[in-house]
Amino acid sequence: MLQSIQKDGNLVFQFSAHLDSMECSRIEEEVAQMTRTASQPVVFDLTGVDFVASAFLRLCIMVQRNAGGNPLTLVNVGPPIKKVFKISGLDTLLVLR
Amino acid sequence: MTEPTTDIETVMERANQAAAVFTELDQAQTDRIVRAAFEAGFNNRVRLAKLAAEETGLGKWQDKVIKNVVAAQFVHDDIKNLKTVGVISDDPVTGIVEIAQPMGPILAIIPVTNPTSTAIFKILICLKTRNPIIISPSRKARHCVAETARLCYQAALAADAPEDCIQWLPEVSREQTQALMTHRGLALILATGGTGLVTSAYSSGTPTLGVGAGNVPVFIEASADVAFAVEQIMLSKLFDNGTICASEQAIVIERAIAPIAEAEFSKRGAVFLDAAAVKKLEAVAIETGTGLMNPAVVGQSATTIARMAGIDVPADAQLLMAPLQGVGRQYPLSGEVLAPILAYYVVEDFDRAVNVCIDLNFHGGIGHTASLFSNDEEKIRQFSMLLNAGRILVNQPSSQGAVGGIFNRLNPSLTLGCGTGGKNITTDNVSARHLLNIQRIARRRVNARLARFDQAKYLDESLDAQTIERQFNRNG
Repeated sequence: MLQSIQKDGNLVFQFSAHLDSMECSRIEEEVAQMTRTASQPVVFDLTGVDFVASAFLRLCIMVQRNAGGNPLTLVNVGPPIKKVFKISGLDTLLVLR
Repeated sequence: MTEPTTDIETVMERANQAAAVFTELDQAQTDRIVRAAFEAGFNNRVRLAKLAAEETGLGKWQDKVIKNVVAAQFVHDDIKNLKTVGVISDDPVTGIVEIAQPMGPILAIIPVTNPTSTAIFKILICLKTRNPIIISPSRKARHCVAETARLCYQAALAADAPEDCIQWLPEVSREQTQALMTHRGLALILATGGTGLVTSAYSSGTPTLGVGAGNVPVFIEASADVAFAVEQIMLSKLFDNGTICASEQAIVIERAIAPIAEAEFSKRGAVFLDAAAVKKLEAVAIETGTGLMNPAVVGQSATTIARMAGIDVPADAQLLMAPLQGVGRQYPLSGEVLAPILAYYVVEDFDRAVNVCIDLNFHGGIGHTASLFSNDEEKIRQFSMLLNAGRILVNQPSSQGAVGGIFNRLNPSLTLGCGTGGKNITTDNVSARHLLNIQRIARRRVNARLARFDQAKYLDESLDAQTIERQFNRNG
Protein backbone atom coordinates (compact mmCIF):
# COMPACT_ATOMS: atom_id res chain seq x y z
CA MET A 1 0.00 0.00 0.00
CA LEU A 2 1.38 3.38 -1.02
CA GLN A 3 1.45 6.23 1.47
CA SER A 4 2.92 9.67 1.12
CA ILE A 5 3.54 12.22 3.84
CA GLN A 6 5.26 15.56 4.25
CA LYS A 7 8.14 15.24 6.69
CA ASP A 8 11.01 17.64 7.46
CA GLY A 9 10.44 19.47 4.19
CA ASN A 10 10.50 16.27 2.14
CA LEU A 11 7.85 14.34 0.28
CA VAL A 12 8.19 10.88 1.80
CA PHE A 13 6.72 7.75 0.22
CA GLN A 14 6.17 4.51 2.10
CA PHE A 15 5.54 1.26 0.29
CA SER A 16 4.23 -2.23 0.79
CA ALA A 17 6.79 -4.94 1.54
CA HIS A 18 6.66 -6.70 -1.81
CA LEU A 19 7.29 -4.34 -4.70
CA ASP A 20 6.74 -6.78 -7.55
CA SER A 21 5.80 -5.82 -11.11
CA MET A 22 2.08 -5.78 -10.39
CA GLU A 23 2.41 -3.57 -7.33
CA CYS A 24 4.76 -1.22 -9.18
CA SER A 25 2.41 -0.84 -12.13
CA ARG A 26 -0.36 -0.07 -9.62
CA ILE A 27 1.55 2.74 -7.90
CA GLU A 28 3.67 4.00 -10.79
CA GLU A 29 1.31 6.61 -12.16
CA GLU A 30 0.46 8.04 -8.75
CA VAL A 31 4.11 8.31 -7.72
CA ALA A 32 5.05 9.82 -11.07
CA GLN A 33 2.32 12.42 -10.89
CA MET A 34 3.06 13.44 -7.30
CA THR A 35 6.80 13.67 -7.81
CA ARG A 36 6.51 15.57 -11.09
CA THR A 37 4.66 18.38 -9.37
CA ALA A 38 6.58 18.22 -6.07
CA SER A 39 8.82 21.19 -5.29
CA GLN A 40 10.46 19.54 -2.28
CA PRO A 41 12.99 16.65 -2.27
CA VAL A 42 11.54 13.17 -2.64
CA VAL A 43 12.36 10.41 -0.19
CA PHE A 44 11.47 6.73 -0.57
CA ASP A 45 11.25 5.11 2.84
CA LEU A 46 11.90 1.39 2.25
CA THR A 47 11.21 0.26 5.80
CA GLY A 48 9.98 -3.33 5.63
CA VAL A 49 10.49 -3.68 1.88
CA ASP A 50 11.80 -7.18 1.16
CA PHE A 51 11.57 -7.39 -2.63
CA VAL A 52 11.89 -4.93 -5.49
CA ALA A 53 11.16 -5.82 -9.11
CA SER A 54 12.87 -4.25 -12.12
CA ALA A 55 9.86 -1.99 -12.37
CA PHE A 56 10.75 -0.39 -9.05
CA LEU A 57 14.30 0.35 -10.22
CA ARG A 58 12.77 1.93 -13.32
CA LEU A 59 10.43 3.95 -11.11
CA CYS A 60 13.39 5.22 -9.07
CA ILE A 61 15.20 6.29 -12.25
CA MET A 62 12.10 8.06 -13.54
CA VAL A 63 11.55 9.92 -10.26
CA GLN A 64 15.23 10.87 -10.15
CA ARG A 65 14.99 12.28 -13.72
CA ASN A 66 11.90 14.25 -12.82
CA ALA A 67 13.35 15.45 -9.56
CA GLY A 68 14.62 18.73 -10.98
CA GLY A 69 18.01 18.73 -9.29
CA ASN A 70 17.01 17.20 -5.98
CA PRO A 71 18.43 13.70 -5.80
CA LEU A 72 16.00 10.94 -4.91
CA THR A 73 16.89 9.66 -1.46
CA LEU A 74 16.22 6.11 -0.28
CA VAL A 75 16.15 5.57 3.47
CA ASN A 76 15.87 2.52 5.73
CA VAL A 77 17.15 0.26 2.99
CA GLY A 78 17.56 -3.30 4.26
CA PRO A 79 20.68 -5.26 3.28
CA PRO A 80 19.06 -7.43 0.57
CA ILE A 81 17.64 -4.36 -1.15
CA LYS A 82 20.87 -2.43 -0.66
CA LYS A 83 22.66 -5.23 -2.48
CA VAL A 84 20.25 -4.83 -5.43
CA PHE A 85 21.04 -1.12 -5.69
CA LYS A 86 24.80 -1.72 -5.37
CA ILE A 87 24.89 -4.42 -8.05
CA SER A 88 22.70 -2.40 -10.42
CA GLY A 89 24.96 0.62 -9.92
CA LEU A 90 21.98 2.79 -9.01
CA ASP A 91 23.63 3.62 -5.68
CA THR A 92 25.79 6.08 -7.62
CA LEU A 93 22.75 7.82 -9.13
CA LEU A 94 20.56 7.92 -6.04
CA VAL A 95 21.28 8.68 -2.40
CA LEU A 96 21.06 5.66 -0.09
CA ARG A 97 20.92 6.35 3.62
CA MET B 1 72.27 -27.06 -14.32
CA THR B 2 71.81 -24.43 -17.00
CA GLU B 3 72.30 -20.80 -16.04
CA PRO B 4 69.24 -18.56 -15.82
CA THR B 5 68.79 -16.34 -18.84
CA THR B 6 66.79 -13.24 -19.66
CA ASP B 7 66.50 -14.05 -23.35
CA ILE B 8 62.81 -14.78 -23.71
CA GLU B 9 63.12 -17.07 -26.71
CA THR B 10 65.73 -19.15 -24.88
CA VAL B 11 63.57 -19.26 -21.76
CA MET B 12 60.60 -20.50 -23.75
CA GLU B 13 62.68 -22.99 -25.74
CA ARG B 14 63.96 -24.51 -22.49
CA ALA B 15 60.49 -24.50 -20.96
CA ASN B 16 59.00 -26.30 -23.94
CA GLN B 17 61.69 -28.97 -23.79
CA ALA B 18 60.98 -29.43 -20.08
CA ALA B 19 57.27 -29.67 -20.86
CA ALA B 20 57.95 -32.39 -23.40
CA VAL B 21 60.04 -34.47 -21.01
CA PHE B 22 57.49 -33.94 -18.25
CA THR B 23 54.87 -35.82 -20.29
CA GLU B 24 56.92 -39.01 -19.88
CA LEU B 25 56.77 -39.02 -16.08
CA ASP B 26 54.34 -41.15 -14.12
CA GLN B 27 52.62 -40.22 -10.86
CA ALA B 28 55.26 -41.76 -8.60
CA GLN B 29 58.12 -39.99 -10.36
CA THR B 30 56.21 -36.74 -10.27
CA ASP B 31 55.45 -37.07 -6.57
CA ARG B 32 59.11 -37.75 -5.78
CA ILE B 33 60.08 -34.51 -7.52
CA VAL B 34 57.39 -32.56 -5.66
CA ARG B 35 58.53 -33.99 -2.35
CA ALA B 36 62.14 -33.02 -3.07
CA ALA B 37 61.16 -29.44 -3.86
CA PHE B 38 58.92 -29.29 -0.79
CA GLU B 39 61.74 -30.44 1.46
CA ALA B 40 64.14 -27.92 -0.06
CA GLY B 41 61.69 -25.09 0.54
CA PHE B 42 60.77 -26.29 3.98
CA ASN B 43 64.32 -26.93 5.17
CA ASN B 44 65.29 -23.40 4.12
CA ARG B 45 62.14 -21.75 5.50
CA VAL B 46 63.97 -19.58 8.03
CA ARG B 47 66.84 -18.48 5.81
CA LEU B 48 64.47 -17.63 2.96
CA ALA B 49 62.15 -15.72 5.30
CA LYS B 50 65.06 -13.65 6.60
CA LEU B 51 66.26 -13.01 3.05
CA ALA B 52 62.77 -11.86 2.04
CA ALA B 53 62.36 -9.53 5.03
CA GLU B 54 65.85 -8.11 4.51
CA GLU B 55 65.53 -7.53 0.77
CA THR B 56 61.97 -6.17 0.69
CA GLY B 57 62.00 -4.28 4.00
CA LEU B 58 58.44 -5.48 4.54
CA GLY B 59 56.87 -7.41 7.38
CA LYS B 60 58.46 -9.63 10.01
CA TRP B 61 60.79 -12.52 9.21
CA GLN B 62 59.21 -14.71 11.89
CA ASP B 63 55.82 -14.42 10.18
CA LYS B 64 57.39 -15.00 6.79
CA VAL B 65 58.66 -18.31 8.20
CA ILE B 66 55.04 -19.27 8.88
CA LYS B 67 54.10 -18.27 5.33
CA ASN B 68 56.91 -20.49 4.02
CA VAL B 69 55.64 -23.33 6.19
CA VAL B 70 52.13 -22.95 4.77
CA ALA B 71 53.49 -22.76 1.22
CA ALA B 72 55.70 -25.82 1.66
CA GLN B 73 54.36 -28.19 4.31
CA PHE B 74 50.63 -27.40 4.17
CA VAL B 75 50.46 -27.14 0.40
CA HIS B 76 52.43 -30.37 -0.02
CA ASP B 77 50.19 -32.12 2.48
CA ASP B 78 47.15 -30.88 0.58
CA ILE B 79 48.28 -32.00 -2.88
CA LYS B 80 50.47 -35.02 -2.20
CA ASN B 81 47.67 -37.58 -2.68
CA LEU B 82 46.03 -35.79 -5.60
CA LYS B 83 46.06 -37.77 -8.86
CA THR B 84 47.56 -35.51 -11.50
CA VAL B 85 48.96 -37.96 -14.03
CA GLY B 86 47.09 -40.17 -16.47
CA VAL B 87 43.69 -41.62 -15.65
CA ILE B 88 42.36 -39.84 -12.59
CA SER B 89 38.81 -41.22 -12.64
CA ASP B 90 36.86 -43.95 -14.42
CA ASP B 91 33.11 -44.17 -13.95
CA PRO B 92 31.65 -47.33 -15.49
CA VAL B 93 28.09 -46.05 -15.04
CA THR B 94 28.52 -42.86 -17.04
CA GLY B 95 31.29 -44.27 -19.20
CA ILE B 96 33.36 -41.18 -18.57
CA VAL B 97 37.09 -41.59 -18.05
CA GLU B 98 39.08 -38.52 -17.01
CA ILE B 99 42.71 -38.12 -17.96
CA ALA B 100 44.90 -35.42 -16.46
CA GLN B 101 47.29 -33.73 -18.86
CA PRO B 102 49.74 -30.96 -18.11
CA MET B 103 49.00 -27.51 -19.50
CA GLY B 104 52.52 -26.51 -20.57
CA PRO B 105 54.86 -23.71 -19.50
CA ILE B 106 53.40 -21.49 -16.79
CA LEU B 107 54.53 -17.97 -16.03
CA ALA B 108 54.40 -17.32 -12.29
CA ILE B 109 54.28 -13.69 -11.19
CA ILE B 110 55.55 -13.27 -7.65
CA PRO B 111 54.56 -10.27 -5.51
CA VAL B 112 56.82 -8.33 -3.17
CA THR B 113 54.53 -8.91 -0.20
CA ASN B 114 54.84 -12.71 -0.03
CA PRO B 115 57.82 -13.49 -2.28
CA THR B 116 59.47 -16.69 -1.07
CA SER B 117 56.23 -18.32 0.09
CA THR B 118 54.43 -17.61 -3.20
CA ALA B 119 57.42 -18.94 -5.12
CA ILE B 120 57.48 -22.19 -3.12
CA PHE B 121 53.72 -22.57 -3.49
CA LYS B 122 53.72 -22.05 -7.24
CA ILE B 123 56.73 -24.32 -7.76
CA LEU B 124 55.00 -27.15 -5.90
CA ILE B 125 51.68 -26.90 -7.73
CA CYS B 126 53.41 -26.61 -11.12
CA LEU B 127 55.68 -29.59 -10.51
CA LYS B 128 52.77 -31.65 -9.23
CA THR B 129 50.96 -31.06 -12.50
CA ARG B 130 54.09 -31.56 -14.65
CA ASN B 131 54.10 -27.99 -15.89
CA PRO B 132 57.41 -26.13 -16.27
CA ILE B 133 57.40 -22.90 -14.28
CA ILE B 134 58.99 -19.61 -15.27
CA ILE B 135 59.22 -17.29 -12.29
CA SER B 136 59.01 -13.55 -12.69
CA PRO B 137 59.48 -11.89 -9.31
CA SER B 138 58.82 -8.34 -8.23
CA ARG B 139 61.98 -6.31 -8.80
CA LYS B 140 62.15 -5.61 -5.08
CA ALA B 141 62.25 -9.33 -4.24
CA ARG B 142 64.26 -10.82 -7.06
CA HIS B 143 67.20 -12.11 -5.00
CA CYS B 144 65.19 -13.98 -2.37
CA VAL B 145 62.92 -15.44 -5.04
CA ALA B 146 65.90 -16.48 -7.18
CA GLU B 147 67.39 -18.23 -4.18
CA THR B 148 64.10 -20.01 -3.45
CA ALA B 149 63.82 -21.14 -7.06
CA ARG B 150 67.45 -22.25 -7.18
CA LEU B 151 67.11 -24.39 -4.04
CA CYS B 152 63.90 -26.04 -5.23
CA TYR B 153 65.31 -26.58 -8.71
CA GLN B 154 68.47 -28.25 -7.44
CA ALA B 155 66.41 -30.56 -5.27
CA ALA B 156 64.01 -31.32 -8.13
CA LEU B 157 66.90 -32.12 -10.48
CA ALA B 158 68.35 -34.47 -7.89
CA ALA B 159 64.99 -36.26 -7.96
CA ASP B 160 65.26 -36.64 -11.77
CA ALA B 161 63.08 -33.71 -12.76
CA PRO B 162 63.35 -32.48 -16.37
CA GLU B 163 66.03 -29.87 -16.91
CA ASP B 164 64.71 -26.31 -16.82
CA CYS B 165 61.44 -27.36 -15.21
CA ILE B 166 61.99 -24.35 -12.93
CA GLN B 167 63.35 -21.15 -14.45
CA TRP B 168 63.57 -17.71 -12.98
CA LEU B 169 64.36 -14.36 -14.48
CA PRO B 170 67.37 -12.88 -12.73
CA GLU B 171 66.73 -9.36 -13.99
CA VAL B 172 63.17 -8.43 -14.74
CA SER B 173 62.05 -5.64 -16.98
CA ARG B 174 58.46 -4.77 -17.71
CA GLU B 175 59.11 -5.44 -21.39
CA GLN B 176 60.44 -8.93 -20.70
CA THR B 177 57.47 -9.81 -18.56
CA GLN B 178 55.21 -8.48 -21.29
CA ALA B 179 57.05 -10.47 -23.96
CA LEU B 180 56.72 -13.64 -21.92
CA MET B 181 53.05 -13.05 -21.24
CA THR B 182 52.25 -12.79 -24.92
CA HIS B 183 54.58 -15.59 -26.07
CA ARG B 184 52.75 -18.17 -28.16
CA GLY B 185 54.43 -21.04 -26.30
CA LEU B 186 53.15 -19.97 -22.90
CA ALA B 187 50.22 -22.01 -21.60
CA LEU B 188 49.08 -20.06 -18.56
CA ILE B 189 49.88 -17.11 -16.33
CA LEU B 190 49.57 -17.42 -12.56
CA ALA B 191 49.25 -13.73 -11.81
CA THR B 192 49.52 -12.82 -8.15
CA GLY B 193 50.09 -9.12 -7.66
CA GLY B 194 48.61 -5.67 -8.07
CA THR B 195 45.63 -4.81 -10.24
CA GLY B 196 47.76 -3.32 -13.05
CA LEU B 197 49.85 -6.42 -13.40
CA VAL B 198 46.88 -8.77 -13.27
CA THR B 199 45.04 -6.70 -15.89
CA SER B 200 48.09 -6.75 -18.09
CA ALA B 201 48.22 -10.55 -17.77
CA TYR B 202 44.57 -10.83 -18.75
CA SER B 203 45.15 -8.53 -21.71
CA SER B 204 47.98 -10.69 -23.03
CA GLY B 205 45.64 -13.22 -24.60
CA THR B 206 47.21 -16.05 -22.60
CA PRO B 207 44.85 -17.84 -20.19
CA THR B 208 45.37 -16.39 -16.73
CA LEU B 209 44.53 -17.33 -13.20
CA GLY B 210 44.62 -14.01 -11.42
CA VAL B 211 43.69 -12.47 -8.13
CA GLY B 212 41.57 -9.46 -7.23
CA ALA B 213 42.04 -6.62 -4.80
CA GLY B 214 40.81 -7.06 -1.26
CA ASN B 215 39.05 -4.79 1.16
CA VAL B 216 38.07 -7.19 3.89
CA PRO B 217 35.24 -6.13 6.20
CA VAL B 218 35.04 -7.74 9.62
CA PHE B 219 31.69 -7.73 11.34
CA ILE B 220 31.67 -8.38 15.08
CA GLU B 221 28.05 -9.37 15.56
CA ALA B 222 26.19 -9.03 18.88
CA SER B 223 26.37 -12.76 19.71
CA ALA B 224 30.16 -12.91 19.22
CA ASP B 225 32.68 -13.60 21.95
CA VAL B 226 34.11 -10.10 21.73
CA ALA B 227 37.39 -10.66 23.55
CA PHE B 228 38.10 -13.69 21.38
CA ALA B 229 37.18 -11.77 18.24
CA VAL B 230 39.56 -8.93 19.07
CA GLU B 231 42.36 -11.34 19.92
CA GLN B 232 41.91 -13.12 16.57
CA ILE B 233 41.75 -9.88 14.62
CA MET B 234 44.96 -8.62 16.23
CA LEU B 235 46.65 -11.96 15.55
CA SER B 236 45.69 -11.62 11.90
CA LYS B 237 46.15 -7.93 11.23
CA LEU B 238 49.59 -7.82 12.85
CA PHE B 239 50.73 -10.95 11.02
CA ASP B 240 53.66 -9.88 8.82
CA ASN B 241 52.50 -6.30 9.44
CA GLY B 242 49.32 -6.83 7.45
CA THR B 243 50.86 -7.76 4.09
CA ILE B 244 48.38 -10.54 3.27
CA CYS B 245 45.66 -9.28 0.93
CA ALA B 246 43.05 -11.14 2.98
CA SER B 247 43.94 -9.23 6.13
CA GLU B 248 41.19 -7.30 7.88
CA GLN B 249 40.66 -3.75 6.62
CA ALA B 250 37.69 -2.49 8.60
CA ILE B 251 35.92 -3.44 11.81
CA VAL B 252 32.14 -3.04 11.86
CA ILE B 253 30.57 -3.51 15.27
CA GLU B 254 27.17 -3.11 16.87
CA ARG B 255 27.01 -0.23 19.36
CA ALA B 256 25.90 -2.41 22.27
CA ILE B 257 29.19 -4.33 22.31
CA ALA B 258 31.51 -1.60 21.00
CA PRO B 259 32.79 -0.47 24.44
CA ILE B 260 33.90 -4.03 25.25
CA ALA B 261 35.68 -4.33 21.91
CA GLU B 262 37.36 -0.94 22.30
CA ALA B 263 38.66 -1.90 25.75
CA GLU B 264 39.95 -5.21 24.36
CA PHE B 265 41.63 -3.54 21.40
CA SER B 266 43.25 -0.92 23.66
CA LYS B 267 44.43 -3.60 26.10
CA ARG B 268 46.24 -5.28 23.21
CA GLY B 269 48.03 -2.20 21.95
CA ALA B 270 45.56 -0.76 19.44
CA VAL B 271 45.41 3.02 19.44
CA PHE B 272 42.12 4.75 18.59
CA LEU B 273 42.88 7.92 16.67
CA ASP B 274 41.00 11.20 16.92
CA ALA B 275 39.74 13.01 13.82
CA ALA B 276 42.90 15.12 13.45
CA ALA B 277 45.15 12.06 13.65
CA VAL B 278 42.96 10.22 11.13
CA LYS B 279 43.53 13.11 8.68
CA LYS B 280 47.30 12.90 9.20
CA LEU B 281 47.23 9.14 8.73
CA GLU B 282 45.20 9.43 5.52
CA ALA B 283 47.82 11.79 4.13
CA VAL B 284 50.62 9.21 4.42
CA ALA B 285 48.69 5.97 3.97
CA ILE B 286 46.73 6.87 0.85
CA GLU B 287 47.96 8.46 -2.39
CA THR B 288 45.83 11.47 -3.21
CA GLY B 289 45.71 11.00 -6.98
CA THR B 290 44.79 7.34 -7.13
CA GLY B 291 43.08 6.90 -3.77
CA LEU B 292 45.12 3.72 -3.39
CA MET B 293 47.46 2.71 -0.58
CA ASN B 294 50.89 4.29 -0.49
CA PRO B 295 53.50 1.53 -1.02
CA ALA B 296 55.72 3.26 1.55
CA VAL B 297 53.46 2.14 4.43
CA VAL B 298 52.90 -1.42 3.21
CA GLY B 299 54.23 -3.96 5.68
CA GLN B 300 55.52 -1.32 8.10
CA SER B 301 54.85 -1.36 11.83
CA ALA B 302 52.24 0.86 13.50
CA THR B 303 54.90 2.97 15.21
CA THR B 304 56.81 3.51 11.97
CA ILE B 305 53.65 4.61 10.18
CA ALA B 306 52.65 6.86 13.09
CA ARG B 307 56.07 8.48 12.94
CA MET B 308 55.71 9.01 9.18
CA ALA B 309 52.33 10.64 9.81
CA GLY B 310 53.50 12.77 12.72
CA ILE B 311 51.10 11.12 15.15
CA ASP B 312 52.09 10.58 18.78
CA VAL B 313 51.49 7.00 19.84
CA PRO B 314 52.94 4.91 22.69
CA ALA B 315 56.19 3.13 21.87
CA ASP B 316 54.42 -0.24 22.14
CA ALA B 317 51.52 0.70 19.84
CA GLN B 318 50.58 -2.27 17.65
CA LEU B 319 47.65 -1.11 15.54
CA LEU B 320 46.18 2.20 14.40
CA MET B 321 42.37 2.37 14.58
CA ALA B 322 40.67 5.02 12.46
CA PRO B 323 37.02 5.65 13.40
CA LEU B 324 35.18 6.58 10.19
CA GLN B 325 31.66 7.74 9.39
CA GLY B 326 31.36 6.42 5.85
CA VAL B 327 32.80 4.42 2.98
CA GLY B 328 34.19 5.69 -0.33
CA ARG B 329 36.80 7.98 -1.84
CA GLN B 330 35.84 10.78 0.58
CA TYR B 331 36.91 8.43 3.41
CA PRO B 332 40.36 7.41 2.17
CA LEU B 333 41.03 4.87 4.91
CA SER B 334 37.91 2.92 3.98
CA GLY B 335 39.97 1.31 1.19
CA GLU B 336 42.62 -1.39 1.36
CA VAL B 337 45.88 -0.70 3.20
CA LEU B 338 48.27 -3.63 3.73
CA ALA B 339 49.60 -2.33 7.03
CA PRO B 340 48.53 -2.33 10.71
CA ILE B 341 45.74 0.18 10.11
CA LEU B 342 42.04 -0.57 10.57
CA ALA B 343 38.99 1.51 9.74
CA TYR B 344 36.45 1.34 12.57
CA TYR B 345 32.67 1.67 12.31
CA VAL B 346 30.15 1.58 15.16
CA VAL B 347 26.56 1.02 14.00
CA GLU B 348 23.19 0.54 15.64
CA ASP B 349 22.13 -2.93 14.59
CA PHE B 350 22.66 -5.97 12.39
CA ASP B 351 21.08 -4.54 9.24
CA ARG B 352 23.11 -1.34 9.38
CA ALA B 353 26.28 -3.34 10.03
CA VAL B 354 25.66 -5.53 7.00
CA ASN B 355 24.99 -2.44 4.90
CA VAL B 356 28.37 -0.97 5.87
CA CYS B 357 30.01 -4.32 5.06
CA ILE B 358 28.31 -4.31 1.64
CA ASP B 359 29.64 -0.78 1.04
CA LEU B 360 33.17 -1.87 2.02
CA ASN B 361 32.82 -4.97 -0.13
CA PHE B 362 31.90 -2.86 -3.15
CA HIS B 363 34.63 -0.33 -2.39
CA GLY B 364 37.45 -2.31 -3.96
CA GLY B 365 37.01 -5.74 -2.41
CA ILE B 366 34.40 -7.53 -4.49
CA GLY B 367 34.84 -11.29 -4.53
CA HIS B 368 37.79 -11.46 -2.16
CA THR B 369 37.18 -12.20 1.49
CA ALA B 370 34.80 -11.19 4.28
CA SER B 371 35.05 -12.00 7.96
CA LEU B 372 32.42 -12.44 10.63
CA PHE B 373 32.50 -13.13 14.34
CA SER B 374 29.15 -14.53 15.45
CA ASN B 375 27.57 -17.42 17.29
CA ASP B 376 24.20 -17.02 15.61
CA GLU B 377 23.84 -19.44 12.71
CA GLU B 378 20.97 -17.52 11.13
CA LYS B 379 22.98 -14.27 11.17
CA ILE B 380 26.00 -16.07 9.71
CA ARG B 381 23.85 -17.36 6.87
CA GLN B 382 22.25 -13.96 6.20
CA PHE B 383 25.61 -12.20 6.19
CA SER B 384 27.09 -14.78 3.84
CA MET B 385 24.22 -14.52 1.37
CA LEU B 386 24.57 -10.75 1.14
CA LEU B 387 28.34 -10.33 0.78
CA ASN B 388 30.16 -11.00 -2.48
CA ALA B 389 33.25 -12.84 -1.25
CA GLY B 390 35.00 -16.02 -2.32
CA ARG B 391 35.81 -16.73 1.29
CA ILE B 392 33.55 -15.87 4.22
CA LEU B 393 35.53 -16.64 7.32
CA VAL B 394 33.68 -17.24 10.55
CA ASN B 395 35.31 -16.83 13.98
CA GLN B 396 38.90 -16.92 12.79
CA PRO B 397 41.72 -14.58 11.79
CA SER B 398 41.18 -13.62 8.19
CA SER B 399 44.83 -13.46 7.00
CA GLN B 400 45.61 -16.97 8.11
CA GLY B 401 42.05 -18.16 7.52
CA ALA B 402 41.89 -17.16 3.87
CA VAL B 403 45.13 -18.92 2.91
CA GLY B 404 43.62 -22.15 4.21
CA GLY B 405 44.85 -25.17 6.06
CA ILE B 406 45.38 -23.55 9.47
CA PHE B 407 41.97 -22.49 10.77
CA ASN B 408 39.76 -24.28 8.23
CA ARG B 409 39.89 -26.84 5.45
CA LEU B 410 40.18 -24.45 2.53
CA ASN B 411 42.96 -25.49 0.15
CA PRO B 412 46.21 -23.89 1.33
CA SER B 413 47.09 -21.29 -1.30
CA LEU B 414 48.95 -18.06 -1.87
CA THR B 415 46.71 -17.20 -4.83
CA LEU B 416 43.16 -16.43 -3.80
CA GLY B 417 40.61 -16.33 -6.61
CA CYS B 418 38.01 -13.58 -6.37
CA GLY B 419 35.46 -14.68 -8.94
CA THR B 420 34.14 -12.52 -11.69
CA GLY B 421 33.65 -9.62 -9.25
CA GLY B 422 37.43 -9.53 -8.93
CA LYS B 423 37.77 -10.24 -12.68
CA ASN B 424 38.86 -13.82 -11.99
CA ILE B 425 37.56 -17.08 -13.40
CA THR B 426 37.28 -18.74 -9.98
CA THR B 427 36.55 -17.94 -6.35
CA ASP B 428 38.67 -20.94 -5.30
CA ASN B 429 41.92 -20.93 -3.44
CA VAL B 430 44.00 -21.74 -6.52
CA SER B 431 45.88 -25.03 -6.30
CA ALA B 432 47.25 -27.91 -8.37
CA ARG B 433 43.82 -29.00 -9.62
CA HIS B 434 43.52 -25.71 -11.52
CA LEU B 435 46.68 -26.42 -13.52
CA LEU B 436 45.50 -29.46 -15.44
CA ASN B 437 43.83 -30.03 -18.74
CA ILE B 438 41.28 -32.74 -18.06
CA GLN B 439 40.51 -34.92 -21.08
CA ARG B 440 37.36 -37.00 -21.02
CA ILE B 441 36.84 -40.26 -22.81
CA ALA B 442 33.10 -40.52 -23.38
CA ARG B 443 32.06 -44.11 -24.08
CA ARG B 444 28.81 -44.87 -25.87
CA ARG B 445 25.91 -44.76 -23.42
CA VAL B 446 22.71 -44.22 -25.37
CA ASN B 447 20.12 -42.01 -23.73
CA ALA B 448 17.48 -44.64 -22.97
CA ARG B 449 14.65 -42.12 -22.79
CA LEU B 450 15.50 -40.74 -26.21
CA ALA B 451 15.84 -44.25 -27.64
CA ARG B 452 12.27 -45.19 -26.72
CA PHE B 453 10.77 -41.78 -27.47
CA ASP B 454 9.04 -41.30 -30.80
CA GLN B 455 11.22 -38.53 -32.20
CA ALA B 456 8.69 -37.75 -34.92
CA LYS B 457 6.80 -35.88 -32.19
CA TYR B 458 9.45 -33.16 -32.28
CA LEU B 459 8.14 -32.31 -35.75
CA ASP B 460 4.58 -31.83 -34.52
CA GLU B 461 4.20 -28.11 -33.75
CA SER B 462 1.00 -28.69 -31.81
CA LEU B 463 2.91 -30.45 -29.00
CA ASP B 464 4.21 -28.00 -26.39
CA ALA B 465 7.17 -28.37 -24.06
CA GLN B 466 5.20 -29.79 -21.16
CA THR B 467 3.55 -32.46 -23.31
CA ILE B 468 6.83 -33.54 -24.89
CA GLU B 469 8.57 -33.54 -21.53
CA ARG B 470 5.85 -35.73 -20.00
CA GLN B 471 6.11 -38.27 -22.77
CA PHE B 472 9.90 -38.15 -22.84
CA ASN B 473 10.13 -38.91 -19.12
CA ARG B 474 7.39 -41.51 -19.03
CA ASN B 475 8.24 -44.75 -17.26
CA GLY B 476 7.54 -48.00 -19.08
